[in-house]
Amino acid sequence: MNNNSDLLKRLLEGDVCLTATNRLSRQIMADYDQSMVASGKMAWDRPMIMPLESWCRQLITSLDISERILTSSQAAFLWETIIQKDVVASDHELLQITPTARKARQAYKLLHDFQAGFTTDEAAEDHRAFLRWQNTWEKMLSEKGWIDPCTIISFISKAIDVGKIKVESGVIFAGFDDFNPVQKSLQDSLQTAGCTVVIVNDHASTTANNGVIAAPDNTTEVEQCARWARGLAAENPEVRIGIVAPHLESYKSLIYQKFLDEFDPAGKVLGGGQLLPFNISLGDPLANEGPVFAALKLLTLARTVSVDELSWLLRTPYIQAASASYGQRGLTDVKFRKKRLAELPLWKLKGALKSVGCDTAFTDVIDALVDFQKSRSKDLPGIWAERFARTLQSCGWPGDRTLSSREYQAVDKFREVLAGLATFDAVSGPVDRSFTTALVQRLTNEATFQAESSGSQVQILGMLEAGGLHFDHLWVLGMHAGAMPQPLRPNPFIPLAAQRRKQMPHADANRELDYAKRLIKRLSASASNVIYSWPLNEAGIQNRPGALLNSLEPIDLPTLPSMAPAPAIFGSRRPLEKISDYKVAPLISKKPVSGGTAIVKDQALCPFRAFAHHRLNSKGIESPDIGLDNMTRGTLVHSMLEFFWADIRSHQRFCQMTDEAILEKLEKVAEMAVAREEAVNKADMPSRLRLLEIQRLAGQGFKWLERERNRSPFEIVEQEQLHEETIGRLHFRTRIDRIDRLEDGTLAIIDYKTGQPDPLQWFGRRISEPQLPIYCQKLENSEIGAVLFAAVRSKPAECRFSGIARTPEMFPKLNERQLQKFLTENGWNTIDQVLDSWREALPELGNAFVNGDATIDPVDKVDTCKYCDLATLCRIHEADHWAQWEDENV
Amino acid sequence: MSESQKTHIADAAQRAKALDVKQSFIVQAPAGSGKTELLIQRILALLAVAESPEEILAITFTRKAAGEMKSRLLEALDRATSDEMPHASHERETWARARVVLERDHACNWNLQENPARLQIMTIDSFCSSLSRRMPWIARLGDQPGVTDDAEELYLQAAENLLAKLESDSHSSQSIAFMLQHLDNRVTQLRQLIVAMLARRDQWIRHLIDSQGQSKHILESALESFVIATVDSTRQTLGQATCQQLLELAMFASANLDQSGVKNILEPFVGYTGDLTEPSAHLQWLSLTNLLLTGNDSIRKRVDVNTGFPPNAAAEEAAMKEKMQLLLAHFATDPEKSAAIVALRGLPAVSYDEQQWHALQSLIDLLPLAVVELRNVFRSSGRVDFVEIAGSARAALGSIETPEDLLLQLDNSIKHILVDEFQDTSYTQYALLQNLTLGWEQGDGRTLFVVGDPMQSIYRFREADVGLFLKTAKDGIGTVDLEPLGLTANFRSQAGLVDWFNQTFPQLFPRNGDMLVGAVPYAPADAVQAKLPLGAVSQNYFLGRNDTDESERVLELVRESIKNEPDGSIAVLVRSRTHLLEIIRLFNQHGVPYQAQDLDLLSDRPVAHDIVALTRALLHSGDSVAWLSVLRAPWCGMTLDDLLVLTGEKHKAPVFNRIFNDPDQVEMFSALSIEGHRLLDRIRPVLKRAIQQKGRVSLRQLVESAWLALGGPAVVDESGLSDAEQLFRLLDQLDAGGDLLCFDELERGLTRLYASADPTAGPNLQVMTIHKAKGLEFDTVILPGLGRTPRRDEKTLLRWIEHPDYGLLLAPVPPSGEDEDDIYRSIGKILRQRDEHETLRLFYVAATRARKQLHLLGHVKSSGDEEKPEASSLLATVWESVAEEATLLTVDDNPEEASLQKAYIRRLPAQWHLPELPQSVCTGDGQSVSASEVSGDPSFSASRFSLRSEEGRLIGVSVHRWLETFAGQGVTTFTPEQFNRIAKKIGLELSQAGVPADRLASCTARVVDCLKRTLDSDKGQWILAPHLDHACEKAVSGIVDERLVHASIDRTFIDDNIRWVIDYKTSTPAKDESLELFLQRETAHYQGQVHIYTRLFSQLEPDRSVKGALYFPAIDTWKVVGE
Ligand code: SF4
Repeated sequence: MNNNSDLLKRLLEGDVCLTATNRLSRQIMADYDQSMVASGKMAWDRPMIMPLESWCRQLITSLDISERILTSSQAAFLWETIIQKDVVASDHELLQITPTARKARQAYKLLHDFQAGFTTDEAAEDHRAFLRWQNTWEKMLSEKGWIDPCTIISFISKAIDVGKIKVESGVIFAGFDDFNPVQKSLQDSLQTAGCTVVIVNDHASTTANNGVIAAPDNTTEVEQCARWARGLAAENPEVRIGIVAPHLESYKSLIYQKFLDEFDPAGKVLGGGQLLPFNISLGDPLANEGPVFAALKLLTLARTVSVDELSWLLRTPYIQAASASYGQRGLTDVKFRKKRLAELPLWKLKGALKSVGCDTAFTDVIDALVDFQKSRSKDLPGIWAERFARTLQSCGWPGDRTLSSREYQAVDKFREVLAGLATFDAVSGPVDRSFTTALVQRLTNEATFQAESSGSQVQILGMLEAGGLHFDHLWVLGMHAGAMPQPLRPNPFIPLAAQRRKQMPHADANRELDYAKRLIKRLSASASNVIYSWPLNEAGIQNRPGALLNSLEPIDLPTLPSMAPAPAIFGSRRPLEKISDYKVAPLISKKPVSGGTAIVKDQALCPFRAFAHHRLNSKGIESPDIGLDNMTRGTLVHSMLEFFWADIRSHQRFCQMTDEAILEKLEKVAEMAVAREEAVNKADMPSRLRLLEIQRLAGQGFKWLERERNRSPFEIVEQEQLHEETIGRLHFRTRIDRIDRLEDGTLAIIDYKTGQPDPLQWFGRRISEPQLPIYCQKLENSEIGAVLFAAVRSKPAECRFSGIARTPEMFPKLNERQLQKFLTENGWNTIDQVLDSWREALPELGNAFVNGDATIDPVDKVDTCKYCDLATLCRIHEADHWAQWEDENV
Repeated sequence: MSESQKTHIADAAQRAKALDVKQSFIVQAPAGSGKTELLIQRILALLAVAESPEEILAITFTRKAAGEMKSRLLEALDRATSDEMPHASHERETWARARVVLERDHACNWNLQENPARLQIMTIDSFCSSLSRRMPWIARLGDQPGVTDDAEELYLQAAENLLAKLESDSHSSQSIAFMLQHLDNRVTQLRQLIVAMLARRDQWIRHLIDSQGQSKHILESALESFVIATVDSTRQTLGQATCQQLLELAMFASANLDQSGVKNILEPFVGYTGDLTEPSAHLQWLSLTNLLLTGNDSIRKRVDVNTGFPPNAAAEEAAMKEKMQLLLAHFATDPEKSAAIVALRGLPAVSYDEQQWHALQSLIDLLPLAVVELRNVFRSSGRVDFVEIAGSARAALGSIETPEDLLLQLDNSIKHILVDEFQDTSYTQYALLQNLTLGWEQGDGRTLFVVGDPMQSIYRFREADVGLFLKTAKDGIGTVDLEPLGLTANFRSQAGLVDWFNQTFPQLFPRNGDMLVGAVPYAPADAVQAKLPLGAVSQNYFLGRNDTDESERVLELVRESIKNEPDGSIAVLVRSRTHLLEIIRLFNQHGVPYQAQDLDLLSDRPVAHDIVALTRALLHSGDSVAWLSVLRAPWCGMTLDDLLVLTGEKHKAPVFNRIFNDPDQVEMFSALSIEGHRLLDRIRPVLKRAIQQKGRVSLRQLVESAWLALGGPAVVDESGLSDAEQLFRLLDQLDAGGDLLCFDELERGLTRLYASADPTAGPNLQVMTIHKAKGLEFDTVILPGLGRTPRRDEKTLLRWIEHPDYGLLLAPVPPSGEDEDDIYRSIGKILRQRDEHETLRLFYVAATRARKQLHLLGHVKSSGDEEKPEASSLLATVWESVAEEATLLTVDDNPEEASLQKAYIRRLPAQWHLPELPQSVCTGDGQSVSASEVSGDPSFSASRFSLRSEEGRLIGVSVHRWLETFAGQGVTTFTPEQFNRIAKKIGLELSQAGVPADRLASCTARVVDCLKRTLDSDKGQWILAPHLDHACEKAVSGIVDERLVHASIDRTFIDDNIRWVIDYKTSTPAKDESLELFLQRETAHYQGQVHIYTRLFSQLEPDRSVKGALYFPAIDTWKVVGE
């Protein structure tokens, strides 16, 4: 298969082969090995085939300067420091330091590689900034005796010139589209020193069989390509298939999915984790790998932990006892969320977790992290690395599960990154924890992680990586008009004129065009069968065919069948069965069921909801938000008013109080209410928020009490009392906010609401606010003077009583038109009729529940469901189809 | 365009003029006027004289438009390659111009056709990106960060970071506390308000930065000037005599009121001695509105005791009352005067009260800090929004002081700028143009060409400000004056429609332009297309709202259209996607195929719910609802009774534990129905496997594989697979180490995705929002829901208006629980007027999409004796002009509660099973392996994590390298000084390699120790000696056990005709390990590897005897392997 016998002959004679890419080295090596095997050899000396850069690095160790060469991460680190300092010194702002340093480094390398420079005369402000950094950098290098790694190649040339390095063999350069000036000067040096220098390019000289395909969109394009590749690979496991894309990054995830679909359908259903059936040149950041992500999370956790972060920690498999306690920790999370705290300081977490039954292995992890966060010293990065490793160890990272091979590799690579921190000791002073964790985060983001693949038959590459490679079949994706040549992207730190002078890449339209032509020529020659494809349409935007491919004929691929699992499974579908099972087994136990109030309430809202909440015991998990949620605020108002009336107890005494006295009292009881809430939650409120809330409560209380003042006299009989009651098979424990005895001796039963209360929720067969109606069951109708919601709202106009009363005048502004209208429409003219209606309706709701009613019937199709946690379970979103399904006969 | 046609086209002269490449123009190009063609012709004209194509910059509104313009330009060039002149006359002009460009292209070696990237046609966003990419330092971004379309998460983060400062000592703490108090201590509300402000920060930041130094006085004087000016203009409209009369009447009424004890609505007139003309009279004027206007801003019909005119009074008083009534009647009939009076309503006080001022100060303090936080979030996430890019680009350009610097910075100077859709330009873009044209002079050959249609400005929500169009036409941009041109020809709509437009719209559009309220006048059109016989416009209005009835009418119209013209295109256009729900439901129900763009939310699709439930279940053992949903989903479909068994009513254990960890599983399973048992058996292993894979594979893989294995694809409809794919992509985006960081993000993400279109529907019937339809055209356009009102404006932290004459008007959000104050309200009033004008334009855009026919549908309400559409509905804007001809259809206004259908779930039938899927191809191609891989697998047991092993490795590498050097140089001894030097070098090397500073000494010592021991020992000297054919790091390959092996051998040579193959190991015995045991252990571990080496050499040198050995420099021990 290999056509370059000349190259192999030279290698056999001991020539060194220097390549543009690692991949090409491997391919030439493979070709060489194959030729050896073909010639019947069982063992042979391995020729030197390596990327030019590695060769230089190897050679330079023989010079006396090797320990002075910085690593590229050290150099990058130092450039960042330089730029950071310059930003501060020039009182400037720069959003992105690290990427800027990278770009500036690139400029530095370009100038070096093209043996170019520029002066301030032609420099705009950006270029001048670069000149400053370059200056500082070169001063630093000479002061410290360091050597910039991107200049190694020049050192090699010089060493060859002066005879310090002797290259005995011939040197072959392979796979370069272009040589920059320093590379050319290396070749000159070699030749002057007497080496033969051979340049190998386009080493396949096949009669190409090329064509163009226009696909409707990227997805189809990649799909076609994947099927084509699978067909070829399945037919002959020996052929080499290349897939190349000018913008591989944007195609990557699509390629990944579609190739997995076609190449390993059975494996995809098993969830992957197996070897990839193809080799793709872009890895993912190491930081995204499960165990590494977890390690970073542990190390970078803030002092205050959000409920989401805590939940994540409770669910991660990568800490101690995670697998063993997986079920339990899930439950811990659910319970913790019920506290409705959005965040908590890490050091307070343990106590709060214990109160919801958290396992100690987990609280030990929290302890370890609290400990870790105590380290506030400044130290060298290498020392931090040790500390990081120890912390991870005490967290039991990477967990109690056996690692998969991929996890093992990731852990190992992370170990390398951590250990590598010590290389910064030489270029950095002592740094603090957050600086170092940020550094680790960045390094793991930059380090790519490549999952192992099972072979290199199918190689998926970027344009440049394909340099010099040879395939049997090649497919080039994404070749629409805009893809090549690309818009110019000159380096912003070098004046454009200077870049054009030296013909640096990406700076001149005609150079790019020329380069694109050469690339296409090279690609066209690198396989005997080359297909170029392009999507007609990308995210709604029409593409045009690339003019550079005009000479190629369109080809028609035979439509190959898809192997992808999803369509196959879709194709296997049969008519679905239908079930309607909304009547379940009645409750077996004859004992009264507790939680009656909530049951009746849910039953009224939607019977399915009562069934799911109270028989399946399933509630959605809560996700608390920052600040105080409505429920807590409501509780606080209740408590405050309870405390307020606790010793005042009567309208008369209340009316004797001055405004100042009331306000003073309110502030005190508001504080008491907050303190009570904190005690229940086992967690304090942050101090300023606490203060604000107390003020708010007191203010709201004051607005409300205005309404109480205008009432006719009353005495408070009880507050927040628990009442128990059994109606039918349901047992009720209701807490009645307040019961007043009115002038006429009757009772007013009062429910505080901090939302907008709607007394209509009391009526009809669906009593969705059942507390007061339930309590009324205990009393004779004649004892009841009023049943009321007390709306305690921040808007004074909305503060009022609403509900029914025998003597409405006792409660100013009581009657609402809507309620009256409703009552009259239903023929309820007296309060007694209403009370009687409750006596009928409540047991009905209870019985329906007990008897296994699970009908889907929300009281309001929009609002009830909007605030319901069960939509995925009841499948109400399919309601539009029910009628249709009913007619289907399956 | 041929001569003959030119004469037909009314605006031919204007069009010709627009191609004058020496002049700058602002072109008003109404709907259907063919502006894209004009733009292309102008670009061609410019290219024909340009020095390089990069001199010409064309800015479009969307990426799609940029793509289209580029394509059309290239097509023009392609067509021009052919010598054949096109037949269609209007193409001829383009063809001829393109030929000139081709010549120029040739002459200058541009290669435009091969290198279309040279054409600078792009959106303002990409232009800003390219600018800031060119200027990393002065744009203050550095190398360009990623740009995100949806920065909501980032705003949220920034807002939360800011709010977290409440508990800190920073000075923002007080302002936050104040604002919280102001907003009833609702932290989330304040957060959302800040988020909303951050998204529009380009609009206010400059004002706030400016106002930071401004005193209360400056802001108040702007208010005052505004109030006084309004009063002034009212006074002038009313006229001197009327004012005098009013004063008299008001004094009279005020006095009466003061006596009568009713609330004096004319309080400021008590004891008033002025004459209503001085500026300070504004309070009197404001109170006059109480006398003249009713609560809903119409002129009062009669006055009574409450307004100061008691009944049955004496003759003189009766006369006053009579006078008053007459005056009112006069106002009522004069729309101009009544409008002038209404304009006074709600004018603000001219000073802020204490609470307002405090709130304003807090915001002026806080909002810039929120921006700072946002910058921090941008920094740490490496992503920014377009606002940031545009802001940076502008700031960078702004910091360049001379045109020469600009040239240096960008090198390629832009000589001609064309801007499309200029009516939707924002302040930032406008300012950017100012910066770009810095130093341009009239007649220096540089031109600006902006095109747009103010009547089609509908992107206020994206900061478009139509006022800028008016301003530019009037004042130019920077130093560039633009000559206004107006196109009038409408190539799109048939004459019948154009007539209707020309009749209807002038009544609706204001007569004059007004920058403050964004009002633009109507420009009439000349029809090019002939009149068609069919009725151009049909109006279908209902009395009372009933979406079903209206939708049914839409369906009828669609069917009629299809019948009349089967190939015609039909579009149903609405103002907001919610208006379509009922129509889409009806289309679906009747099997009418349609294409919908971005209308169906993914979150409305069952497949999305099912996959979300699956995701949640797999990620959270405690999420019972998710677990039960997975069991209930169609791929399983367990009955409720079985679910009751599984949840174990009595046990109260979470479902997850019951399924996987329950000790009484046998008992539990036996209680299940047979069917239930079967179902559980089928899905349990899939779920179990997935849970075990968590973290090991990507989130997408985790969920997708489980979904496939459960049979998910077998229970979806035609578009289900692509819907699922969208959801999987979302999972990919949210992937956090194979998990989710926040479940709510999934839900939120879902509401931003749209379900896939019906793959089987053809393009004939399309359904979309009016905004999406901009720039498109259809034979028939149906506009339903005209009677519906948009959602009300939400509260914002600040309301501001940059008044063209009086400067910045600014008001903070009123405190929670209190009514809007008058400053906030009156600024709101102006904003609302802007909205109203835009609503009108939206209607214009919608109507002008039609080529042949337009159908209007909507409802009106009857209020009292009038039948009227609701205010701020689209219909309200046109009602006056169409009311007469409209006949109202009645609806069933009391639709009976549709009782809920009997519910069903569906599930896979029992016979279904997962189809057999093909196995993997490509299981390896005999790639080479290294010797150590062949001999042993890495063990995956998780040992305790530590960095020590890395140190050992570095020591090993160093020892290897130095032994190689020694052997290579043939050195055998060193003086102590030499050794010291070597030790120093080793230290530096180790440090470079990554030995931490505090470990450096001991590690160096270990290396040195190894080297010393080796050199000191005879064995060591023998190993390093220059034997026959010796080599270090010898590279040998070969076939061992039918596998290709690549080996690197530490040391090899021939001594005594024996080929020695030696591997160095720097390990040492463990603490209590005897040397013997150690050697046993190491040999056992490495013998496979050494054996491969020796086999390779025996194959290489078949006649020689080959021996393998391990050498341990750290303990100077030698062990021959395999003897
Ligand atoms: S979502 Fe609606 S239908 Fe479903 S359980 Fe809740 S209330 Fe009932």
